[in-house]
Order: sequence, then C-alpha cells, then structure tokens
Amino acid sequence: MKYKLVKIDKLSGEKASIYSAIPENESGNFEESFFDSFIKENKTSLLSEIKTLVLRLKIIGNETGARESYFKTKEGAPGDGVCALYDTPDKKLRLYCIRYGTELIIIGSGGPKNVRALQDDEKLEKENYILRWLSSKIKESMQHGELSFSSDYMDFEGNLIIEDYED
Amino acid sequence: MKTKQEKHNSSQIDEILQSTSPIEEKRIRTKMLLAAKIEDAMKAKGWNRKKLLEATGQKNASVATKWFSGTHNFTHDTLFDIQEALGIELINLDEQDFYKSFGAFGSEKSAEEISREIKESRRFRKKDLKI
Repeated sequence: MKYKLVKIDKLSGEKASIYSAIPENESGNFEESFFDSFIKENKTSLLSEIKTLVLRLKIIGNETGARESYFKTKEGAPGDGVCALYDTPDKKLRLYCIRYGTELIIIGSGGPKNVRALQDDEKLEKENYILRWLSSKIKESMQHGELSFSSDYMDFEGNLIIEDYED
Repeated sequence: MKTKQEKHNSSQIDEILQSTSPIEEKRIRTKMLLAAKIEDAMKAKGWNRKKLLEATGQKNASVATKWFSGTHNFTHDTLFDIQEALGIELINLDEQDFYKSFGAFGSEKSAEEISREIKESRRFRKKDLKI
C-alpha cells in the first residue's frame, strides 16, 4: 500500500504548511486524500464542525502557525506527533493530525467521538492507527535519507511516496 | 528518488471555504488570536500556567488548556482578570472603536462644531419660502 504526501494549497500559508496523504487506489492512482474523505463523510451531519475545522486550519496556515496548545496532544504513541484537532471540547468531531512543530502538519481523518476510550470506537481507532503508522514510516524514510524537511521546515523534500514494504 | 512536490487542490475544501461567511471566519480567528496573545504574554512575563492560574484566582489546571485552545468562549470577568494579571489589553474600550462597533461614528469635534459646519455647508435661499 502506498501513500502520497501532498500539500493543501488553499489552507497552507506563510506560517504553516498543511499536508495530507492520499492512499493509492485499486487502479494505482492517487485521488482522494484522507482529509477529503473526512469532509465527505461528515459534512452532511456535522457541517458546522467541519467548517470550523477547515477555517482553523486556514488560520493556522496563514496567521498563527500550528501552535501546540491548539491541538489535543499525545493521541498516538510516545513522541510520534499524533494529535487531534476539534471544534470545541464538547463537540463530537475529532480530526487526527501529525504535528511537526509549528510549521508543518499532516492532517488525516477521524470522526465523531461518542465514546470515552479510543479503543471503543472501531472507526476512530482505525484512523488513529493509520496516522501512527504513517508517522513511523515517515521517520524511517527520514532515517534512510529518502525524505527530509526543507531548510525552513515548512515542506517535505525527497520521496513523498510512503510505502508499506510489508505488503 | 525525488517526487515532485504536488499542490493538492480539493473540491471538498473549496466547497466548504466558499460556504463560510466572513463573520464565521472572523469569529474563529478572534478566538485563536486571543488565545495566542494570552499565552505569548504569559511566556513573555516568564510565567508558567500554574502561575497564571494563581494570579487569576483559578484552581483547576485544566482551565489553562481551555484558555489556550483557541476555541474558548471567555467571559468578560475572566478576560478582565487575565489582562490585569498579565498587564496586557484584552478588552478595548477606546471611544472610537466603541462607537464604530454599533455603526455610529466617533468624532474629535464637539457637537457644536459639527452643527455649525453642517449649517455652513448648506446653501439657503436668501428669500424665505412662503407656504
């Protein structure tokens, strides 16, 4: 399974770059990103929260940067950068991200959180673990010199296709 | 192997951005900038969260997490306490801004001056109208 890292132009700006990942489909093409799927799945029932999340990302990219306090951190394995973005704590929707400092985030997918523990929701758990996996594979790619940050840490450079060699 | 950097254009994101109003965006921006201002002022003062909470009379540590999240809906009293503790301005009662906020205009001129200027700018017929 392959995933391509792509920069979301409309949300990125001078303060932070907003990336997502596109899984390779059955035809071998990269079409719909994790974030696109997240919007499609939730815009009918939770439009207000979707709008808030998109606007928060746009403001992060263009005005504030990805400040740590904007995210619910430690949503993944220790040190992997997996965190969650949400509207307000009392709202349902959770969007999982990987945060690389204030300059770059990768936004994944997520869903409504109606349970106390992640493990109690199959969909949320799956989306969370996809990002944990992606974070570990990005780290491996960087260790092998295939992927790196740009000099200003605002972009990825090198091989932007992350592959699961265990297939 | 180097992959060419791709800028991803998303019709889903475009649709959402087009459906949001300037007021919606301003509301969210203000909350996020307010949170950033408070957190930066706290750090500039050399304080940690515990110190800020003590200075504002808060006992629950999770309150600071809410304050800095960029989503919190502050009360006036909380903003007042924070601004006094940190020595920053969060509540702006500048007269000009106050009048503008509800559509009125603020002027440096007195009411008498304005009235005189309005009268002088009118061109009255020398001959009174006889009705």
